Formats: sequence, structure tokens, C-alpha cells
Amino acid sequence: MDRTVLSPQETRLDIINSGGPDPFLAGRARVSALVKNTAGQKPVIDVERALWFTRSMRETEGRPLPLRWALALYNVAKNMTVRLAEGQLLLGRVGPPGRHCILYPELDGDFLDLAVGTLPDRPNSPADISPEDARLVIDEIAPYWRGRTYHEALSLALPEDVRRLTYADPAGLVSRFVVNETSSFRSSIQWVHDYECVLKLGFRGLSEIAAARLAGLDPLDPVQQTERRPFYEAVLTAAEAVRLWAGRHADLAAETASRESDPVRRAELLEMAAIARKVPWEPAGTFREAVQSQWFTQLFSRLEQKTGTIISNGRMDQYLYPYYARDKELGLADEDGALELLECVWAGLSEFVDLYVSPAGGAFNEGYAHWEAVTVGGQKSDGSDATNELSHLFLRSKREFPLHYPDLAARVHSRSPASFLRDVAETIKDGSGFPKLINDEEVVPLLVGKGATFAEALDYAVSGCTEARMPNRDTFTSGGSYINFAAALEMALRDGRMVKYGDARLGEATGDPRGFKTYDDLWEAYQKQHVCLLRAAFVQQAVVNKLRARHFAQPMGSLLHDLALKHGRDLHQEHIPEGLDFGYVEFIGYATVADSLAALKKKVFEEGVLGMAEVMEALDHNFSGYEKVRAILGSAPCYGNNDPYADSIAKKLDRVSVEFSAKYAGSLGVNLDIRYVPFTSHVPFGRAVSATPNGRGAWLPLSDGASASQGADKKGPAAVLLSNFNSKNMDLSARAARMINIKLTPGCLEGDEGTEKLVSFIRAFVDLKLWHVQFNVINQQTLLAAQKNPDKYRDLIVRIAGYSAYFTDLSADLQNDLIARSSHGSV
Amino acid sequence: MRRAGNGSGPGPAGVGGLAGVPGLVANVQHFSLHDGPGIRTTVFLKGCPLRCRWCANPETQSFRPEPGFDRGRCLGLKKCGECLRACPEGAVSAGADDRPDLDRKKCVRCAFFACRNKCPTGAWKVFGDLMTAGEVLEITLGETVFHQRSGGGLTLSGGEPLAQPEFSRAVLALAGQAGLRTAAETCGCADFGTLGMVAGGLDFLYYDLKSLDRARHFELTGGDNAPIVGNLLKLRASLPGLRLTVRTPVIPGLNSDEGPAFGSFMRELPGVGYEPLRYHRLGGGKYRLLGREYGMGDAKLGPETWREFLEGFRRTYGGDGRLPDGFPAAAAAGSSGEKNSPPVRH
Ligand code: SF4
Ligand code: SF4
Repeated sequence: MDRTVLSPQETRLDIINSGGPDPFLAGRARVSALVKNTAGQKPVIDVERALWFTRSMRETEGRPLPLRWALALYNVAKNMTVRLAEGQLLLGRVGPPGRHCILYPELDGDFLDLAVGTLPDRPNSPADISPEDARLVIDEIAPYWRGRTYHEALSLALPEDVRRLTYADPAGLVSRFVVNETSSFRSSIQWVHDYECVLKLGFRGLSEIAAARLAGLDPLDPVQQTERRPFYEAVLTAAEAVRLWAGRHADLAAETASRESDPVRRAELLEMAAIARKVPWEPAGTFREAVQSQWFTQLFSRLEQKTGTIISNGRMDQYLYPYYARDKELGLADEDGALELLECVWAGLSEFVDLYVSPAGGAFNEGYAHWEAVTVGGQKSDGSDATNELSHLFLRSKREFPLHYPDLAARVHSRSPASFLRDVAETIKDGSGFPKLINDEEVVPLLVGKGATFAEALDYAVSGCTEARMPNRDTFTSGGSYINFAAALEMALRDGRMVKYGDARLGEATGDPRGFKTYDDLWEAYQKQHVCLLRAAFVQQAVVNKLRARHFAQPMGSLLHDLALKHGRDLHQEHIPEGLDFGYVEFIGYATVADSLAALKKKVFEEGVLGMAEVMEALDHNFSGYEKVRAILGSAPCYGNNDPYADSIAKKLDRVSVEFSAKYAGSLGVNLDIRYVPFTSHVPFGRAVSATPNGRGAWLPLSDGASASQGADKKGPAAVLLSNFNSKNMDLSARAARMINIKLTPGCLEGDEGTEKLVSFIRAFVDLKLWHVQFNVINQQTLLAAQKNPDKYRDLIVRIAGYSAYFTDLSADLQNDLIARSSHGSV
Repeated sequence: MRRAGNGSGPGPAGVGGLAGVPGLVANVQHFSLHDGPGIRTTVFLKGCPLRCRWCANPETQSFRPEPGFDRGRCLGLKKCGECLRACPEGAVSAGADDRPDLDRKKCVRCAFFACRNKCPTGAWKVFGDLMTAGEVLEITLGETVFHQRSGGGLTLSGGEPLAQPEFSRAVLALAGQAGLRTAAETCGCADFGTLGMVAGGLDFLYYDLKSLDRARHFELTGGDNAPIVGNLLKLRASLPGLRLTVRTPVIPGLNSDEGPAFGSFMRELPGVGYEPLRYHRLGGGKYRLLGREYGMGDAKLGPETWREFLEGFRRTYGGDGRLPDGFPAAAAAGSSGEKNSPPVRH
């Protein structure tokens, strides 16, 4: 191509690479200084949270868990070093300057001592630790937790047949990558707090509610006295911890101000101190106080527990708006000032890295995954459109802020205003993959169908990669299972075995595939393996749901939740009255399996151009010397092309899974909806699976989410969406997000006309009632160049799954995978 | 793309009504963003009366189906050799590098195109499938959620839609019945009756005009521009409601000096859009597939030449600065022409 249109992101890199000034930095001295050292920097591990948490837990053995947790948090709040970043307008951080991460030994303390040695050099998401801190981990922290962690308990509690599919070693440290649990990577599934109640009531107001509940307990009731009382005492302690922590930051700011020679900064510091003395304990009055209050809350919730890939920010454009509007009217705030403050939040976010210590966790969440989802747009709880000035301001900030923060999600619906969608499209065109889009027209009816009121459902916040949470109604916090269905396919072709695991039969005995006479024989064998893995996932979940209440508590999170507070139960308890439990099971390898079944159906059982024996031989040799067999298989119809042949197989795969969930999730008392959201797990899952009949080579990545197999989508992005629509079972409801990644070159969206086309594409996506879509707007050449010269492209951002990351932070495998995904050109 | 039975052949046009009218289709492009308003499904018909030297779709020129061969996709004769064994006419032989050779003189375009049908890799393609108007519609309607939301629809392109008037008319009539918006791209080289008949079923028409110089036009395209220009003027007069955009591919050294000429020409056609197209070499590879020589060598359209064309046009088009619809926005912004345009990499 002799003419290439660059996305603004690529243009920016071009300017910087040719020695020019970074266009973002002009006029943004404060924020530029804050972000200068974040891009591409290897994070440093800070042990303080782990240390103070552990020391307290050691002293409180035997007492009720929520209370122990609250006391441990209080100990952290009291003793952890407080720091402030130069130039920051916000107070509160949980580690040293620059990119940092903290440890959660309650999850992985038993092998943390070994891990600290390998973390700095591991290929996926490495992190550094100082020798002194490493000693603390090895000598003090890890020894206490050994024998006490959740992850050890889980490994022991799983029934043997399920355990074998989960772990490949006796200690439960090595994943099998067949049916993976993720509940030991983090103590909670992705979560959103009701930040609004903090802004409105402050922790003081919330404490008053808790205190009233405590006072209202029947002093003679033994259950109330042994279960509820410690819960209320715990949430009150947690609130005091937050207050203490904020106060220490206020002291620090005041003290720094006294030494500050620059009068402007001194005034800033004094104002920051005053704000931190007020919020989050008291209700927020101004926009600035509201932002600071929310920031303290989300930071403290990081100290409280590891929420999968960072706690989400909720509907920021909604709960901040009243403060912004009021200040603007009073002349206290303007757009630029608000933008600077928000960019201080993003800068703060960008310094924190959610570390996954376990190798499986690291591989599932490559590139320092973070899903602090900031939600904009959507509808209000009365069904009217919710877009406001701040929604647009967030989009503008997203276009201009140079780091891949925040993870921005736009809710879209059938009446989303054209001005909003145009702004969304312009932002997507910027090329960093933001915002991701979540469709009210799919999410709201599903939530209502599962028991929410319309008002609750309409007010959902995007959480993490693609989840939708109703902060006062959702009560399910357990991480879900990821199922490698390409492994089920391999087992159907190998009598329950996998090449990677030798003679061990992991699945069902379904016989020699050379004996399959019809496609039905193959399908039956596949279905048996499929159900075998589903069963394992559901058993896993049953064990997980019971076990977690004994290992985790979240007193601060529970204080912010209506139902937890009302019923006096910590959110980690298995069931909370009136709560709605939304759990998920991830379907990994969707297109890989659908395409493989379609290829065998067509070429072996219908056209008869290949025999099963020949196919198996080719698979055994990873197609080497069998290029013709590979080509014949590869010429069969593929999912993602709006082709009923492949799409109907995909639909059947979905149906088997959704029906299973409809039948058995109920017996667990929760929703366990089928999702197609791999994060980056399709890469490690692929490493466990030998060659597949769709022509995919052994150990290569599986297909991604609900997207087509890499390179198999030949008919453009519209066909990918249509195939998703065609393969959904709209009559059943045990479904949640399908993650759809679409990569476009900037050329196809050039100019205003391109923007309009993207807007109509989004409208069609809304009409199709698909849950999620996201875009990579990037040139193939840019990716190749970045792979060749990583140093020149350190801040090239690409969308991976639910999040965007620096391209150069990714492993070579994942880079190649991104390059291989068909790029829909405009020619 | 669906392959209508090449052997059995479609029934007479009357049997299926409009839906049964057959046509020769080179390709159907889905999610097409640049062939008319909105998101479109573009149907490339086979066969064109002109032979432009730079044609980017040479596979659509001939009126007959023709096999094409993509060496890069072939597994090699030793590993495969299916096409060699399959050709009933011996038109496929063993060539260099373990790859097959096609003797186009011997090829009779046999039933089912044995070479293509047996080839596992898609190295053989056949440009030109018989499809019925009904089949074209069915494919298009399958994507209609995108058309509706974008103001897009179906585009007939080519080749030359006017060269298969019955088929084009049938597709457009069916599209009209289905409520689809329609567009076409034409080179205007047909008798006016045909043009009027097809254009009557359209919402939007791209009308290609390659050169205003008659002798040069003949040299570049093998056709006379007098009827093409005449048709355009007549069409404008007889269907004033039709949205019309004239397009000119700007070819370095061939018509790139005609900016001023086109400016004054278009000035006489107020309300008609004008879209100059930057020459690109993307069609070059297809000539190889077809075993033909690309007539453009490695000519390139430099940014200077492009700018000159645009400026020349603007100079003569009119003084009030208003430019026709479709004219590149960047050029309208000012004499530098590049300020507001997205950066271009050469
Ligand atoms: S179309 Fe038929 S005759 Fe022509 S080369 Fe192919 S197989 Fe031979
Ligand atoms: S059939 Fe296709 S792959 Fe096989 S030799 Fe012929 S061109 Fe090559």
C-alpha cells in the first residue's frame, strides 16, 4: 500500500520518533511530570501492606474473620508509610514512587517466598523487589501463611477427578489449563463499589447506620451476638481505619507544606490537607472533594483485598456530575480544571500494578492487566439517557491522556445521542482501543430476567473487562472457572487423552475416532467431553463458593453494600438474603472448536475427501508433511463469516453449555452464566492443546473470546457480529458477555465520513443485542515495526481483551497473535 | 460467495421471475465502506467494455469466467498436484518451482472448474460465478442491519453493471422491493436507453470519467468518451433527482494534468459531486493471478502531482470556494492542502 492513514496515536509516536515534542505534553506540565516515568517501567513490589496485614492476623487467630480482617486493615492504615507524589493534587497511594504493586499473602503466601525469586525475570508481567523486602517475605510473611492460604485449602478440597483437570501437580501450583480455577488468583471477582453512598453520606454516615444496626441487635440472641455483632464491629473498625489513613495523609500534606518553598505548591498542599481531613469521613461538598473521596475509597479497597485486576470505578460521569455541575455554577470549577484533576486520578491509577504472583494468573492477565473500568453514558434508572457533560469530558481525556488509563467503558443503547456516539467513535479512532462498548439492550433485559428490578438493571455499572454490576444488589464474589473446550475437542479425538499429558486419561473414554462413522458419532464424543469439563467447572465452583467465606472478608466493601449492611453479613458469605449472585464460566476456544467440528463434518463426513485416520495422522505430526490435509481442512466454512454452516455448530456449542448451566446453576443457588471472555488465557490454554482440525498448529493460541479464529474471518467485521448473533441462543438466559475484538486500520475510518460509518456500525451492534465490542485501530505495519524496534514503540497501546496494554509489554506469542488477527482493511 | 450451478445453468429468466435472472458476478464485497453512503454490500459484476490501463480490478474485465492462479498459496505439485490431475483439457501442466502452469488457450472453462474445485488451498480462483438476482439479494439482506443503520445498502459495481442490464435491473428491482437503498458505479459506456433504465432504479450513482480529451481517453481506455460525456449530461437532465457523483482516477503522467479541465467541466454541473481518486497500485497483484502484464509499470502518484490536480480543479471550478460533494476535505482547507488532513505515509 503506498498510502497509509495513521491513527492519532501513531501520528504521536511518529512525531516523537522523529525527534519532535510530544504533542500531549504541551500545556500539561503537572500531568506530564506525573506520567513521565510510568510508561514501560518495570514495577516494584512493596511489602508493607502484606507485612502489617500479616502481623495483625498473627495476633488475632481464632476470632471471627471479618473482625480480624478489619483489625488487620486498621494495622495497615496505622503503620504503612504514607507518601505523596510530587505535583499530585490527590492524596493517597499504596506504594513507592513510580509503578508499584503490593502483595496479598492470604492468597499465595505459601509459595510467595519462592515466587519473589522468579518474579523479576518471568516473561509475563515481571516485577522487581528489593533484597530487604524479599527477606521479609521469606522470613516472616510466607512462613505465617504456609498452611493457611485459600489456595492450599482449595487444592485439598477439590474432588480428585476435578482436581486432575484443574492442576497438573500435587501442590496445586501448576495449572492443567483444562478447567482452570481463578478464585485463588484474587479474593474477589471484579467488583464495583457504590461510591455514591460514600460521597453522599461519608464513612461517618455509613458508620452511623452500622452502629444503629449494632445497637438494634437482640442482646439475648446467640446467633446475632456471635455472627452479626462481630460483623458490625468489623465494618465500624474498617471505617475508622479509612479515617485514620486519610488523616495521616492530611498530616503529611500539611507537614510537606510547611517545608515547601514554592507558595503555589504550598497552597495546593494546604488545600489537599484540608480536603483529606474532611473526606471520605464526611460527605463530599465540592467536585474536588468528591474525586478525593472516591480516590481514597478505591485505594483503600486495594489494601483490603485483591479484586480481580483492580476495583472498578463505576459510573463516574453519573455520581460526580452533581458536584461538577454545582461547582461550575458557583464558578468553582471549569472544564480544564476538572480535566487536570481527573488526569491526576488516571496518573495515580497508572502507577499501581495489579500483580498476579501465580504463573497461571500472570499468563491469564498479560501486560499488567487492569480493569478499573470507568463507565460513561448509558441510561438512568428511569430509562432516560444518562449522557452529560462529564461523559464527554471523560472521552476527551481518554483521547488526550497518553497512558492507557483509565480503562474506559461506554454504555450504549438504542437512543444513545448521536453527539455521544460520534464522540465515542472519534475516541475509538484515536487507536488505543477505548472506549469498549457495552450494550444496554442486551445487559438490561438479562439482569431483569434474573431477578433485578428495572431501576437496578438500568443503573448497572461496567465492571472489569465486560461485567455489569448493580453495586447494591450483586452479592457474588467468587472467581469463576475457565474451560478449555479445545481440550475437550482434543479428548474427543484421543479417547479422553491429550498429547501434552501423555497416557493419563483426563476426560471420558469415547473411543478411537477412526471408528466414527458419521458426524453424529463425532458430535456425541465431543459432547461427552464438553459436558465432562462443564461438570468439573461446576463442581469447582461449588467447592469454591463454600470455601471462600472461611478465608476472606471485606468489611469496608460490606459497609458500602446495602444488603450486607442490612443483613449483617460480610460480602464473602456464600449467600446474602435478597442478593443476586452472578457468577460466570468462561468458554475458551469457541471458534477453534466450532471450526474444527465444521471442518471434520464437511471434509470427512460429508464430502469424504479425507478419512479420520488421515486427519489423525496429520494432527499427530502437527501437519508437518501433511500440508494438503491442513489445506483441505482449512477450506471448510469458518465461524465469523455469517455462514450458517459454521455458525449453527457454534450455536449448538453455546446451547449445550447454556442448557447445562440452566439446569445445574440453580442447585448451587447462583447464576453461573456462560461467557466468552478469555482475557489473555487463550494463549496459555493454546499451549496445552496439540494441533486441531481447523488447521491450527499445536500449542498456538486458541481463538479469542467470541471472535473468529485468527485470520479466518474473511468477510469483514459486520460478518463477525452477525455470526455472533446467529450463534446465540436467544431463548435461554444463562448467558453473559461475548467479547468481540475487531481490528480496523485507521484508513477505513478516515475523516468525518469514517466517523459516521463507525457510528452506524455501533448502532447496528446495538440492534444486534450483542453484549460487548471493542476495536483495535492500528496498522499491521505499526505492529510489525513495534515488534522489531520495541524501544521506539514503548508506548504503543493495543487492545488485547477487555483492556489495552503496551504492545511491547506483551509476550512474543501474544504479539504474533495480535498481528495475525485479520485486519479489516478498507481496500 | 455462493456458487450457482455452473453445470446445470439457471432456468429461463421467466421461471423465477426477477429472482431467477442470472448474471456473472466476479465478487461480492461485504462491509464495504467506500462504495457509496454508509455501510454497503458491493456486488462486482463481470465484464467491462473499456480496458483502462491502470484497472485495479482486471479480473472483472472479461465477460467470461476465467481461472486465476495464486502461486503463493499453492502447496506444490509434489505434495498435491490435484489440479494437474483434474483438468480435463490438459490446460494445467507442470511448471517451474514445482508449481502448475496454465495454458489459457487450452482452458475451456470446464464445468465446475475442475482445477478450482479440486484445489485444497484456494490457489485457483475462478473469477466469474453465475448467480441469480435472488441469490445476490439473499446475501445482501443477510447484512441488512448494517445497511439500515448507516444509510447504506447495495452497490452494483464492476466490471460494468450496464453491460449486464437485465441482471442489474432485476437486482435493483428486487432491492427496491425489499426496501434496500441502491447505488451503482458505472463507466457510462452504454447506450443511453440502458443507462436510463438501470439508473432509474438507483438512489445513488458514481459515474467514472477518466479523461476529457477524446483522443487521450481512447488511448487510455480503448473507448470513446463522447458517448460517455453525452450520457452524463443527458442523465443529469432526465433524472435530476438522482444523487450523482463523478469520479476520476488520477493517474500519474496520463491524466494528472487535467485538474483544471475537470474543474471547468464540473462547474457546469452544479449539484453533482466530484471525487478524484488517488491512483494506487493495489490491483497489480491480480494481473499476476491472471497471467497478465500490469500496464502501469511502477508508476507512482507523488503528493505534488496529486496536489496540483486538486488545486487545478479548484482554480477553475469556481471562485466562491465551494467545492462539490466528495471533493477531498483536506484540499478544501487551504493551499497547503495537508494541514487538516490525516498524515500520509508514502
Ligand atoms: S477451468 Fe477446467 S479446463 Fe480450465 S484449466 Fe481449470 S480445469 Fe482446466
Ligand atoms: S491443486 Fe492447488 S495446491 Fe494443489 S498443486 Fe494445484 S494449485 Fe497447488
